[in-house]
Amino acid sequence: MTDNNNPVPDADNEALRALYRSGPQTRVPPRLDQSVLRIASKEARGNTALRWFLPWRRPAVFIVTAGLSLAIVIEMSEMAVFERSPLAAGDTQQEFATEAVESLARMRQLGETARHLALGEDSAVSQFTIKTQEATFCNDDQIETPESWLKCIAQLRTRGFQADADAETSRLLSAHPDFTLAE
Amino acid sequence: MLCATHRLLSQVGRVAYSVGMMDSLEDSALMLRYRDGDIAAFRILYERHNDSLYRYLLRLCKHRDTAEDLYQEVWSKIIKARQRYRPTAKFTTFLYRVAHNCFIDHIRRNKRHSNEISIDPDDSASPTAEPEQVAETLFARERLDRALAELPYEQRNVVLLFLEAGLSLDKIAGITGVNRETAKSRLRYATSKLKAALSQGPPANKHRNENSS
Repeated sequence: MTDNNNPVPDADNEALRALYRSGPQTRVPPRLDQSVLRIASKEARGNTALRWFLPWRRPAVFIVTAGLSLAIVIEMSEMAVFERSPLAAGDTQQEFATEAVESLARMRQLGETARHLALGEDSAVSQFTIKTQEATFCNDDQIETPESWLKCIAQLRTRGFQADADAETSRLLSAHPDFTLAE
Repeated sequence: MLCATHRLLSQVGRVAYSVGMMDSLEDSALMLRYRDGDIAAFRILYERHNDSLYRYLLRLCKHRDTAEDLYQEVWSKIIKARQRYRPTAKFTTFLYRVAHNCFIDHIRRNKRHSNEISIDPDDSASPTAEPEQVAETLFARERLDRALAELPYEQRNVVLLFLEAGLSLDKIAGITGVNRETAKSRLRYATSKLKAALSQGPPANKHRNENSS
């Protein structure tokens, strides 16, 4: 207990220390001992309760990090796919615009049919069914020349597909800008 | 059956060996073991320092209830600080620094620090000593305790760290937060007063006689 580096190593101080330590010494009351040891034991138990996790701490951190990294990579790759999609590609914008016009025309036609249904015109349903079963666009053979394409458009108008005919007309004009439509 | 007995004996032997090994461990090593959840290591560490710390606080505070409160506070802080404990200094220095800080905090909390002495004298004498020798020692100890209690707080603190904890001047200076020369000066004044009180003799006897009559 005593340090080798005695502060004032004279005989009087040693005698004083000897007297101080001589005879009976005051001891800690047992209840204080019990109290302190109980606290220490409780704290140590708390420590032990978490000790099972210590060997797994590093693997757990690794797994969580790997999981997060994987999630970020997947998210980024999905974003890259979206950027390459037809919606965003510049060279297919024209096609997409045409398709959008056609879809809009079909929706308009559907709206008209629904209106007829609401008015109780049963024939409109059958007419719509028949019309949807028929081709409402011009195929590759028909769009080979502007003349044949125009003929197809005329047939569509005759059959009542005005919106599809309009869409085909806009396609025709975009494919053959020099072509002039007869009034 | 023989195999089980052998296994049990070897296990008991291993436990006894580890406890015996722990007895020889340094305080800092025991503290580190306690940090890892070894309560047996703390028990050994505690038993090495409990009485000494208790006496230090008792004589520093001069009031038993306060000393007991501070004693529990000090050990609670030691227990709580185990995760942050680094064996850079001796455990004794760490322990008494915490005790000193707790006492200073106590003084700040209670500005009206009472000088009332409520320490019971040590109540049992050494059974092997002669009765006259025992009486002489008891008187001398009584005078020493009285002189200690009359010292100013700073000198009492320094001399208790020297006599009770057996710390060096450098460590006493570090614990009390003063430089080495100040600590040395305080210790010199304190020991001089104690020696003077011991050399006088009669007042303690007179006081004792007054009490007994």
